[in-house]
Amino acid sequence: MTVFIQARGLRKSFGTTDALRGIDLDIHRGEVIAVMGPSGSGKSSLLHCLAGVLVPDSGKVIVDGVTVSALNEARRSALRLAEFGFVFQFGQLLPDLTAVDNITIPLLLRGMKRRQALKEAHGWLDRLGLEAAAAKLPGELSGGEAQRVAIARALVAHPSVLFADEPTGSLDSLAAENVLTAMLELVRQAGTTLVMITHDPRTAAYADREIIVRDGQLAATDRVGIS
Amino acid sequence: MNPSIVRLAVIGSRASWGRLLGITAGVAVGVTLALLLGGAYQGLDARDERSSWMSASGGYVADGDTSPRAVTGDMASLGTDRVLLARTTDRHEGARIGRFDVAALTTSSVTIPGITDLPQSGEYYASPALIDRIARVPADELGDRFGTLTGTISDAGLASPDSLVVVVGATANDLLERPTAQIVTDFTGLPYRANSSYQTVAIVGAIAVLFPVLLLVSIVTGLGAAARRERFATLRLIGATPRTVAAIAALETAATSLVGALIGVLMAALLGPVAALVPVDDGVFFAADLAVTPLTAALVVAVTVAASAATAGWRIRRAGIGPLGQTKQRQEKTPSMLRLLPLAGGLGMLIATTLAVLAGLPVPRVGTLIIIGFTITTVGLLVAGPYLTLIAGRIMARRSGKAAGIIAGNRIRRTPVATFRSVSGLVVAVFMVSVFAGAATTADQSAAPIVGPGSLAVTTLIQYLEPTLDAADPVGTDAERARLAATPGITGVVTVYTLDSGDSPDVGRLLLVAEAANGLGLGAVPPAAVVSVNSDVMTGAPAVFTPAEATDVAELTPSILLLGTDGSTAALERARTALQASTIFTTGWRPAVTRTDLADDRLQSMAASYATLAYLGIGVATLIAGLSLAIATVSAMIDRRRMLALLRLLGMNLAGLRRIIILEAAAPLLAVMALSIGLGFLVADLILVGLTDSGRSVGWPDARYLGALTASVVLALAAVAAAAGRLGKNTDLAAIRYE
Repeated sequence: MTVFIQARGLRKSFGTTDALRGIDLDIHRGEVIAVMGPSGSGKSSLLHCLAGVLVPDSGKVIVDGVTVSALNEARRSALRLAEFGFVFQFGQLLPDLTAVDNITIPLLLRGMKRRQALKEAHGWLDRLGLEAAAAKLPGELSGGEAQRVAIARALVAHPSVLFADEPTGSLDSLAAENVLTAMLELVRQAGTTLVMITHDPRTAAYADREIIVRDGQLAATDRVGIS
Repeated sequence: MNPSIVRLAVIGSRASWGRLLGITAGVAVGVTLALLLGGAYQGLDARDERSSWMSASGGYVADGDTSPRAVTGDMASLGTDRVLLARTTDRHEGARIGRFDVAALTTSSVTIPGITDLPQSGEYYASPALIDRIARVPADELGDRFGTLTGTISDAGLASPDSLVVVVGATANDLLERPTAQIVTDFTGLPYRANSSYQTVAIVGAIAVLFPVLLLVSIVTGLGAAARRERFATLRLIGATPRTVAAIAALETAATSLVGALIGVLMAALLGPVAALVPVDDGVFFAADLAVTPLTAALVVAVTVAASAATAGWRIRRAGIGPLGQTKQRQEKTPSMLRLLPLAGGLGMLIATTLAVLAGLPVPRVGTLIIIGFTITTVGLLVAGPYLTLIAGRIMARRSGKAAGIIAGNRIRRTPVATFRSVSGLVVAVFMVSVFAGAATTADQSAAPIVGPGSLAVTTLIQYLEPTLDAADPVGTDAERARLAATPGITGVVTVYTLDSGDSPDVGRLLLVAEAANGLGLGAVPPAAVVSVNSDVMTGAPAVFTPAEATDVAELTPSILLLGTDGSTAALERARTALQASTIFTTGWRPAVTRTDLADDRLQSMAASYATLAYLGIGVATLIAGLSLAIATVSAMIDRRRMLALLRLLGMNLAGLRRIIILEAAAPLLAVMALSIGLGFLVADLILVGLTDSGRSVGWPDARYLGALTASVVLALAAVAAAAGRLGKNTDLAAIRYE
């Protein structure tokens, strides 16, 4: 497998707190990675640096040959739009838009016609068993439904990488299982790279590789799960 | 309540300090403007009251009165308790001078506010502004009209420092020849009776201007609502009851508003003298006119603090903040079509009143009905605004093919009330400016003097004569006419006659010697000794001469004296002064005028004189409304920073985010402002037709309107652009990643 994301010597501080203290990491195309570690260890900072949300104080991130940390904000926005998808723990859907409209946003941002975008979005809702929720607002969806809509939105534009920050953290075990299964099935089918933060070892067990971050450094990286 | 908890809850961070400063500044601006507006309202009343003595009136002198109290040419007949007064409006360089000719004994007990003693024949008292003017120009252009300056009229008798007023001493004989002379016993203590329409219009106007001020205060006190809700949720988590949280919110807002209101009082006191320099209705204010009483100031402060505190407490309780944050997102109740009813009702009332007037039906209190209809229409526009905003949002959400349009459209359709609130000030301002501009177009059109071939020159003085007076020679002696003709700048002196009765076709027309008619340069004059001309030539209609039946003007009644001038201001003023120094002046109803003066008189109509005040008020309202829109936009952006940051995360660039913010403000503005403009002109037309019964209609607005409209749009754009300029900082991904 080819290396798709390279991180070299990543350092990031917030005031006097060192969140990342020199991380080197290679992620391959299509790989599913679970990032684990205690609270405050630097997991989210690592994910945000890899995704170009945060700019590291030193070190660099290279995605498919492009040094992300050297791009300006506009170019990083364009990169996020073209290559990345995001799923968070909760509260990521636009509250004024229906489920189907939420899913169309990345497509519209890429310049797709609305009619076509709606067709695509309905297709994703159908795949995820959410067709009945198409016209619902985020406030009217259950937690599991909202997460599946968020996954559909993250994947609808066929990103190369999906970044997920505790995507099942706010769900009960059954809903979490459903969401995780759906997400993994979709990324595996599409060959999308998945970088997923989780506290749950059972969730991590679905990954190709598990990374443990402690005190801003990589404590361990193991090939664990199903590939 | 523990003060430490309040302190922690209120001012826990730098952002909190910024929010509190924002509220304080907003309230300070609001209170300053409210006090200045209140002061201006009181000031207009005060200056009308001070000048109420100018409205003093009494009985006219009765011819043939033989009673012991009869007023005769003998000054003694006046006694010490009566004076003879002849009131006229004089002019100088386009400015109007209130002239009061008074005949009184030196021992008279009658007094005029602002002067110590009544002037005797040959003396005069003048206002400071008139004294300055007299000193500025040659005596034969102004000063010679009045005599010898004896004293100054003090502020107590003047409406404004700019007032041009003169009280001229005369003999009883002089004034008895004037048809306007009255016997007056009292100039002081006259009750000032404000015109009820004026008061109603003033109250409506004050509400229209105060509305954006209240809106501003309401918007700034809601600044940072989302951040505050999170802070209060934490308090609830550690055991604070909903009542405690509401009390903290109220206390915080009360303290901040109090500081802002006190600063506002101070700023109003400092800015009062500057605001007094703004001319309203022909004059600036005395600084004292705009001073607000301590009681009024205290009342404004108390009401502001109480209202903002109560609103803050109510908002927090209504938000339903629990230990885990806001329990549910407040969904606005969708506005229904019923919101259009008040607007339809107001318009219906105006249309019905106007149609009834046009149909000649007896309509009691037309003016009051129209003002009520106008007020209901204005309120109706505000009530209908959210519904129209909802429709605009729905259309945008449905029709837009871009992410920004879909997001903005859906946001608007979910929150039409809040969205419209942020632009409602501008909408009201635009509606008001359209109504006044529409009304003013008619005033301007009817006021402008007609100029064209065959029209009487606008620089010709027209002296109307009083033919019924028992004067030996109402057009003056030959010597006086010669003196007038010899005045530098006067190009001709022409007497115009009328035929009062008979079957002649010349009855109702103006007659003049053909040779003199030729001198006026009004076009072809037929060969005849005496010619007649259409009477509306005096109001600018082209002259059409025909030979008159009469051949000798001695059989006719002299009615008008025309003084042609070389067109220079100095010549015109010299001609006026020369006329006033002649015996001709005493036989006229009023001093000589030009057609420009007559047009200016029409401009002094109530609607037109309100126009300046209206534009001023609307200017203030527009400024505040623009400020409110900027604050509301920033506030909404801060409250939605997580959502906007998420969009950035999804790959939307800053330009896209800016489009969302601009569309959210532009959609309701365009939807309701377009309606405001159309409704404004419709309402102006209905008011004019209803009030004048003349079938007049509004025309194209003048440059001031376009200026006001452009200013509103520029302000709105600037407000939104200023807010959008903060997008990058407020949606910084690093800043919101832990939210």
